[in-house]
Amino acid sequence: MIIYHSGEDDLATIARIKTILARVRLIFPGSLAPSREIGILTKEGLEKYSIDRYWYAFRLAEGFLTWKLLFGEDILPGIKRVGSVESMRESIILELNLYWGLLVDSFRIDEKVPGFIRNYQCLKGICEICRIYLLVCKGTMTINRMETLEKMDRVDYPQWKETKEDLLCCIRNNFFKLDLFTENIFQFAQPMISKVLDTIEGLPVCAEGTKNVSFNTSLSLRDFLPEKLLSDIQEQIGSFSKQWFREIRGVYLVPQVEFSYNHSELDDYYNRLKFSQMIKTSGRSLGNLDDAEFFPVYLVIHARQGLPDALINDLLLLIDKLRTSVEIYPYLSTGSIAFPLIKNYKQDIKLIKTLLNDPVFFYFSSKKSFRISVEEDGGQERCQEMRISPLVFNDAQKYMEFLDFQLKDTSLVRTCIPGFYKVFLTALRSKIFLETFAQGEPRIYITPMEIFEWAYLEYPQHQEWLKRFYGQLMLNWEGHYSDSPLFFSKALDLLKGQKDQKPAVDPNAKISVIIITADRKKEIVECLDSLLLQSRIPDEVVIIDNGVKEFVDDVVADYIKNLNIRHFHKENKGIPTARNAGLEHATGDILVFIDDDCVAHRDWLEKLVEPFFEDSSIGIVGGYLSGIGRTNKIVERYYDFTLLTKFGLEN
Amino acid sequence: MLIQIFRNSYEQGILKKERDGSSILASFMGGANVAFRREAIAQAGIYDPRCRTMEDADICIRIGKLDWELYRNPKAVVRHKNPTTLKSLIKQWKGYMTYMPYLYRKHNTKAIEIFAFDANAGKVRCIFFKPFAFPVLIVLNTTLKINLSFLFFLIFAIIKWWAAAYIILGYGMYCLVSYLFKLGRHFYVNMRRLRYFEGRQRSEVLWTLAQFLTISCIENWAIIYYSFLGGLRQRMLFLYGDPSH
Repeated sequence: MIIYHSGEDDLATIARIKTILARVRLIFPGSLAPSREIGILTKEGLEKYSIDRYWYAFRLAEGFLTWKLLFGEDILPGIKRVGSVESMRESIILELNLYWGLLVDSFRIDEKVPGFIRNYQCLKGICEICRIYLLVCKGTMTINRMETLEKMDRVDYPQWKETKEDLLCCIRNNFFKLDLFTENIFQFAQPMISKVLDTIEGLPVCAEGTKNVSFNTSLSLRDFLPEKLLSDIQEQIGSFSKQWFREIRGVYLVPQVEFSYNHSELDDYYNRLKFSQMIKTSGRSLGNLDDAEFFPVYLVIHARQGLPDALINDLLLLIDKLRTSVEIYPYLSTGSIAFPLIKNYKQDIKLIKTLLNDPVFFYFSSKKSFRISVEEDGGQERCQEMRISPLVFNDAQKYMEFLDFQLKDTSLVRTCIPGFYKVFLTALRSKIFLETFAQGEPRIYITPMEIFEWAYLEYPQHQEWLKRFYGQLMLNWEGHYSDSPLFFSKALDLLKGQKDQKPAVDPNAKISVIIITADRKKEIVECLDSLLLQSRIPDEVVIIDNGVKEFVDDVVADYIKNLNIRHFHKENKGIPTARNAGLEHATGDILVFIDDDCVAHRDWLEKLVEPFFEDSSIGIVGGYLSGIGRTNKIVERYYDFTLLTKFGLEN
Repeated sequence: MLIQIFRNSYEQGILKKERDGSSILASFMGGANVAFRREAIAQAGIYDPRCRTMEDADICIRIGKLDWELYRNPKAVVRHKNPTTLKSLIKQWKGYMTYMPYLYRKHNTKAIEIFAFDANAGKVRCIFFKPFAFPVLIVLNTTLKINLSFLFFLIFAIIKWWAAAYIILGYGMYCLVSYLFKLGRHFYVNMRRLRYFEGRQRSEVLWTLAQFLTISCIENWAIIYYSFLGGLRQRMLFLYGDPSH
């Protein structure tokens, strides 16, 4: 592995780095096994690009960070933290240079990956590094994005120029905001967690040794979302078919969530895991619930390491009791859906299966397959691949049935706080679905990209917010590798304003007519005659002579006075090659093709080029082909009949 | 009937592009009467020399993907000579079908796709889609159903599965009768529109109808045969390389 580090070039650093790698690998094997491929679904199939090293770098960074935050220790054994800010800063800079080196290294090898994906990766990488800076330094250092960009200038990375332009564009347009990105973890979750923790701390100590102390706390999404948007979404959802989204709507309207905490069981482990919650449910509090009542549970578990056994047991209990399922975002920050190291894999696989067997979850995540690797005691890695069949709905009825079934039978919609995005997306998705359904043509695949476009146009008042929201979503899109880079490139186009910059054609523009001919001396005479009689005479006629037996030189000589003819001989290598030759030799702004055996009407050319002058977005104009005369031949009649009527279509 | 699908839109105005759909449903302009804007060509690239016959469809799909609009102006008329013999017609079908697989491979996903006429939507659309190792395209129309059912009847009769044979024969007859009714109606309406009936006897009209039916049968089998050959050819070129390039 090539490791880039700025300036310092000593063996000691490299040795340190090696020890870090070894240790991190030992401690976080799960963190090094995420999905390592980017897939783009094109018409020709799924193109896959390996991004091994890139992910490796990120997982390493993740590992460093986790180690630091969990245990407050330095991973580097050589450097001992004295406690002063400066020494800490030094160690941090060293480590960040390491991430940076890994990142740059991953860019260097990824030459096969298309440009926009690379840019997307780069954006993600820079965000990630900024985030790490922020998190690790906890505000002791100021971050300068431009500085990080300048750092990249010194690296020899061939595609850097275009990438930099894109990134600058993003920064200028606030396409991703550093604040928002870092808030990703804390913005929504932190108030809730702190609220819970505060309540726990504020509990009266029971002197008599009573173990169970239960308390209620009410939390709702309303506390965390902008009011306007919330009301808008509620309207949006309310206007839908109520039957469909009864439960989903409930997510927003639920006033109370009841948690019961067992105070005495908060052991040291959980205390150290500052940003995790433990939720313990007791049978008594659950028994009070009305089953018919809709009861959502918000769970935010930031479990960087493997989930502790106790927590898993609790979750399973919760799932059993509530008949709900829980979404876990192990790597919320980097947007991968890799599952963390699993200790007790039997139980965990059961948990994961409950997650994965839920078609709604699949529908949202729309991933083709998950790969879960589990390390057994013997050290062998056991990979389990779970395939998901893509859900295809042929008609609206089935879709409705599907949704209805899901909502009725599970009777709960699982969500967590970032899951709000999903609900929002579903709402918009269904809106688009309903619209297209009203037109009699339901769309089955609605990509997040389209939803974004739709929402962007539909909500002008929220455009800024949506931009950031989707910027964030794009960076954190769970498993949507097929969508997100594409989305990124498209969003970039949108931001750059490249889309509608096509100037209309000038009415006095040069028109060249291209004729391909091969051994058709008689027919081309008629064709050239008809060109002479046009209401608008072409500025240039390019004839590509593909003839084998005879050439049309003498015919051309007759017309050269009246038409600006340019005549070229070419070896017969098929029609498209000849047409390409015509395109090469033509000099006009509008390129018109006509075949040598055709006869044009008097106003043909005028009518054909007319649309170009009116609409700037038109790229091609086609005309109408009609048969010469009417004959008694049955084949000709059949040809005309099938051509002119929809005979072939409607049987 | 792929050719008919290709020649679907003759309405004036901006044609609807098939964004996510199949290349066989995409609208295109015939190469004999078409005008390009230079920028569009510059962006999408020139004609694909490997596409010997369907090159116009190919370039239209490519340009359409780049947010350019396709516009049909039926007032720009060009007259050309139709094929006059059955042989030349079959030759034309052969030409289309030989290069269809290439186009299909170029623009479509690897999947089994079945297209059929949807009465509700009023147009041909994909009724079955499943990812597969290689692309398979089937267009189900009534003539194909009739032909296939009679073929299966023959096969079942030869191996003496009489129950299956009669069932499939019954289905074929049902298709045939419904097809004849439809064809008759279309024939009547459109032939009158094209003024073919003027000064013709009733028997002559019926005779024309029968001939049309025969030709459409031949067309179906020619398309199936040549598209199969074309697919094989495409596979060979894919495996062993194109000798002309």
